Amino acid sequence: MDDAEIVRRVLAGEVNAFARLVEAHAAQVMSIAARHVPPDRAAEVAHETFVRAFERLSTYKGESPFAHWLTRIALRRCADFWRSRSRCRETDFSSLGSGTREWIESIPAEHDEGGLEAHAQRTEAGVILEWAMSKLSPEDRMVLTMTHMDGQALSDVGEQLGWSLSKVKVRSHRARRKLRDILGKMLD
Amino acid sequence: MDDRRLARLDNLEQALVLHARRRRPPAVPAGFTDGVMRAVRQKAESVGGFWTMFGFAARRFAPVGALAATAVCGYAQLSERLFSQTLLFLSLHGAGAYSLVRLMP
Repeated sequence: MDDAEIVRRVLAGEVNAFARLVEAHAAQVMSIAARHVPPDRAAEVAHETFVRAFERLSTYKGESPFAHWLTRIALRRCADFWRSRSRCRETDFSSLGSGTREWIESIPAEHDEGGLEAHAQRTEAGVILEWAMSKLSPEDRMVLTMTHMDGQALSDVGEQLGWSLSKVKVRSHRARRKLRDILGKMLD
Repeated sequence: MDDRRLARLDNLEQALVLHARRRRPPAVPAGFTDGVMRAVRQKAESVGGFWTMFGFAARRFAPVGALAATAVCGYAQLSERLFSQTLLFLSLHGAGAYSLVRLMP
């Protein structure tokens, strides 16, 4: 039974059929959520994504694959997560601990592939990445994660976010510049 | 920006990108589908509950509402007819336009 048929059944009142959609797409939604929100909050965002999908199921027209429709909902949930977090108090870089400061200072000026790999494996890299990304707007963060971190094709990103190709290019470029400004201040 | 700082910035950015690409998505937690389905059933019940209550209230209060609407419309129609007849009566018995206008509500 394909996804469109399951959707029809759920809309006809067979609510339990929705479990098949959850089982089929849970890993994909978790993967999206884990890339855009902290890993310990990914399950919560994935849960909200499926509940929202159930509420909006009647708007799914079957013109695109169900997975694409679900991806758009998941991305909107991730953006909502950061919007709600932006109201929280901002963390100062100095409060991240001396380990992160040492990690930044150990970044070499010479290009060394092996050295960078070793740096990337350290947990401090994750802490600094999260901190720097938290300074960006939810949209900047999202487009930068998809284009720059995940290396997705710009056309795919545009389709998933509902943006034109030129908008993806411009926003991605600006977001990267903002991230570099933030990282540059860390080096000072 | 001097070359050394720019090179360090490039390396810092590259290290962070490598870290991000290295991250593996966490596995779907046990009982995830059950948790979602519990929330979904609650949603379905609350939506169904609303329409059940709406139907009940409509059936319960429809006769009373129809009677009240009929009474209000009938009263308005009767009042309007009485008022028109009073104006006609007064005009036939010599009331001037000024006096009739003053009677208007």
